[in-house]
Amino acid sequence: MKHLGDWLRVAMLDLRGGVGRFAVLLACLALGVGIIAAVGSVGGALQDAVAREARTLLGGDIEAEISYRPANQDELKVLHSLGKVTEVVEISARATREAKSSFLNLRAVDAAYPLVGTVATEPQTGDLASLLAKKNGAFGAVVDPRVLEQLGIGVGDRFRIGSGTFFVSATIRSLPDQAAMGFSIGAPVLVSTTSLSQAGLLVPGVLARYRYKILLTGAYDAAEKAIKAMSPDAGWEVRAPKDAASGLRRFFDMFTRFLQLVGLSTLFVGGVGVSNAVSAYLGERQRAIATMKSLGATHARIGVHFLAQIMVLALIGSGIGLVLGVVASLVILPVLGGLLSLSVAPSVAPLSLLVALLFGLLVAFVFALPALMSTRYIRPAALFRSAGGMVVEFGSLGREWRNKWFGLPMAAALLAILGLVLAVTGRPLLVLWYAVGALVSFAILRAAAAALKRIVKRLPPMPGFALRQAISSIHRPGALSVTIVQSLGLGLALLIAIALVGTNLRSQIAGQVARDAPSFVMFNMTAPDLEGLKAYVASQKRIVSFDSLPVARGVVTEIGGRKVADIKDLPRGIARYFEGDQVFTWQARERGDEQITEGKWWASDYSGPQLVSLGEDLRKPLGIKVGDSLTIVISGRPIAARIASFRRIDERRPRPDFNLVFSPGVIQNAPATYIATIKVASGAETAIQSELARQFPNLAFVPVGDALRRIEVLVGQLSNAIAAIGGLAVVSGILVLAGALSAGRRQREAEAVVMKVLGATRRDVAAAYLVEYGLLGALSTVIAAILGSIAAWAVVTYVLELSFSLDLGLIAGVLVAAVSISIATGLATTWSTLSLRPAGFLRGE
Amino acid sequence: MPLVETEKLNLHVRSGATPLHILRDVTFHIDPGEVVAVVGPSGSGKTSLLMVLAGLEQASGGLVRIDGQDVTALDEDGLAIFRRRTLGVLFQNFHLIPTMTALENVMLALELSDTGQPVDALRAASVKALESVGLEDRLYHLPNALSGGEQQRVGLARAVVTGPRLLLADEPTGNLDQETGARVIDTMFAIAQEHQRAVLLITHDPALAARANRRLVMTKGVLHGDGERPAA
Repeated sequence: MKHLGDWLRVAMLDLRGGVGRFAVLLACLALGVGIIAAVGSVGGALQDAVAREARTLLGGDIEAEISYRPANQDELKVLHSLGKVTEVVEISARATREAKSSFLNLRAVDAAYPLVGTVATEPQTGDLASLLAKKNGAFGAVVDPRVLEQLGIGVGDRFRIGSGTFFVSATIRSLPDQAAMGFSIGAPVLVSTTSLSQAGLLVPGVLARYRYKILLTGAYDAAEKAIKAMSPDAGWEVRAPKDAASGLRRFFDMFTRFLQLVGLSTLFVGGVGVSNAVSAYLGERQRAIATMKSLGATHARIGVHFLAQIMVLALIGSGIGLVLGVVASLVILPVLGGLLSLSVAPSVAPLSLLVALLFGLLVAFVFALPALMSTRYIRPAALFRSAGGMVVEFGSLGREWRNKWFGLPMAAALLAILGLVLAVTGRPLLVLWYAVGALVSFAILRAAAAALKRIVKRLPPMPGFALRQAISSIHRPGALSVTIVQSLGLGLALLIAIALVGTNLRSQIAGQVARDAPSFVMFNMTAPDLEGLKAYVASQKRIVSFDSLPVARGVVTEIGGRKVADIKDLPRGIARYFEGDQVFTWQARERGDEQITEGKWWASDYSGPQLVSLGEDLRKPLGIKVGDSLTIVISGRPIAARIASFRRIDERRPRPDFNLVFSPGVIQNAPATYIATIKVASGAETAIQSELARQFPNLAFVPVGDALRRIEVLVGQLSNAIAAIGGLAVVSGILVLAGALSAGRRQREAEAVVMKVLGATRRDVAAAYLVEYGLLGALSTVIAAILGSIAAWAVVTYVLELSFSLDLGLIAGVLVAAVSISIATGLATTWSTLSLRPAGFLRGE
Repeated sequence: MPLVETEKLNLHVRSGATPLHILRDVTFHIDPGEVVAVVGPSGSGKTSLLMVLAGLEQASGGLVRIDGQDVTALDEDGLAIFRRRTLGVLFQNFHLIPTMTALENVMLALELSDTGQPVDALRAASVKALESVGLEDRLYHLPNALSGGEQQRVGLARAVVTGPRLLLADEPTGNLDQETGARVIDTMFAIAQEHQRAVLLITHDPALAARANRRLVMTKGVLHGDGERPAA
């Protein structure tokens, strides 16, 4: 150890001037590290922005929300005592102009809105209050540009919402709380609170959300306590700034973690490139190593010499990756900030960069070590024997694990990688599955390539020189089959998995869901609205089916004998059912596709004590069973019910479903609105939509086709973004392929020259290469398609809980592309062998 | 009619500003079945002569006619086809493909020679060629598992397996010890004699040159005759 400094100095001297030859190693590491660094930085910056902008996203220091009714005088007194208040009323509505209509997320605001942040409009004329003011008998409205497009109008034009007339005073460029609202089907429109009552939309029973945003003069906790105490059973929901964008934060968090795994996979593909580059380098240095050994160098001395060189190169490659990651994040952040309406400052997350750097160094070490171990098998005697290149193979992995110079450092590095992945994702189960998936994929690709070598070796002679040569090149010692299949296959498997998940999601939306879905969903209907609609439906032959359900809201205060307030530690997905109001319905008959998991549905003429059927998901977390009690408070009046059954709620079914479905009875006295679905004959959608808009101007309805298309576009954009990053793994695979072929070019040149001397034409040589690279590319894709399909099937079936279908067209497309890329990369890197003059080469030997 | 005929063969290359004359007006011939040795000091142009004859180097001027074919008139693919049908080449450095077994190295020449025979027949012919050089127990060995003499004998089997009318041998014993070299040369002469093949042998070894029918001396790119012997 005392000589370590000298050893390292010599190693660096030996590396001097030779860094350029490691271009592929540097590029592989830079690409993987760059993705991890960029994703980490961008994800971190978005999280920071959400945290920093939390108050703006909420629109104040605290928000109190109640449905169906505004705060009463006593409640308003409490709210105003806490600080400056603004009231925002949210309602679903329709804007109409002649036969055209647009579904809105209508927000009526008072003069104090917004308390925090600004509403940016186009054109920027005057303050918001003046934009929403009444002029020439119509109220101003600031609308999303989508509304102009759907109604075919421009700024200054008039349109109707319900029975009120409005004019477009400006379009929305950004709203301060837009990012927190997430995806909405309705287009946002701002109007004044005064205009809302004149539009005749605030009919009793219609779902309107009243949000009171407050700039507090005192402490948050005291304010929260005061709001909750003012009407304990009224269903007030209180939100803090940290809650405002919790959905957005969870989405960013999940997306970042997922993309970092994609980045890590790219780095692993690049690891194969590191391994190849190190093997090729050591292959070229075999004579030097043999000479060093013949002069008395120990294995440790040689190991330190080359390991130091590789780790310096890994540091350079990872450093380049960090620079790329920083540049990419600085470019991406402003764009993403604009898209998400978030104020994102260009920033660098040092911790993310450190993590990316550590990943780069650890992956380089793990992939370089087996190649470095091969130096043990270089014998000085080889100096006096081999006339051509020496082929040194790594010992068996089982034997090497027992070697203290290999087993211990390798195990430590692998554990460090797992630890880092765990730190980045925070999900042990995910890490476990990822590790298993990565190892199994590596093992399968390696085993498949080895099996291919064995199989083709046993094949009967093929017709044609090119095919015979190609097959022989696949199984010969030192063949690149394993490298090509592993590097290209891993990247392709990742890409295919991502693409298949995307196509399954999209086809689910555009296919089965679109076919089964109703054409229109109407909601917030009053009883007279429903009667009018039923009469219209009865007169229309083009309407294929019609269904309606009452919708009411109440606060569940007791379940299974326990007060809801006392139930702690519920999973997030379940707890949300007990925060504030809960929607419910009642129905006499069981619907045909209902899946009862326990208990049974009540008789259609049942008229006894109140019963309720609950969603299956509630059963286990709450520890409840059939026969248990449930109390719901509706407009201050508690109603007790007994649990009659549990049902599986399949969110993929294109129909409204509720966690709480009561039997008809006293519950029917609850103030309710109605939700209805209409399915029309194919091709009649536009005509029916126009008639509905004309005959029922106050009716809020969504054309499902439009909504599905919006969802499809969003899912498409998300899966394309992921696929673009997954595609970088294929780029990494191509780099590895090019690197491996370049490293073996000298050998290829020697072979080509010998073949030419023996009478091979350029065409003969090129045809043999073409078939070889094509076969390996095709094999890589076939194995990648199997691995990628299995991964996609698992994600689609178990994570997304959708039915999986294999997109053979996509796989065929990837196959053609991969074979072409494989051939193109192969020919590009070995083209020189075709034009090589044999005489020069033979003299050079 | 001679098998090989050259007339005023010249080879110039530029070395910086000065043209370097490697071959100067080389005119000679080889008859069918004749073994001709070319001797001369290093750098005299012996290997270049062999390269030009094999179509691996383009002559700057003059004529090369082998088996009635004007070699200088052929393009690259034409030269490749000409080599596979007419020539066998044996190198000082063997030039075996290190990732192919001895049998595969030999078979490669047959695979390229458009014989139209099935693979089994090619394999059988390659095995026979290796047997003829005494390597029947080394068929499946990779070159780095063979000694230098064995590698050169694989090279010889590969050079003759297609039945070429002319065998070009460039210092075939240059990398071998005297005894091994002698064994390789014995085998080469026996095969040439048995099949009436012409041989052009480039060598430094006077003893080896003495075994040829005719000896030519190359000095600074100029070829001189040195008497003739009866054909082998």
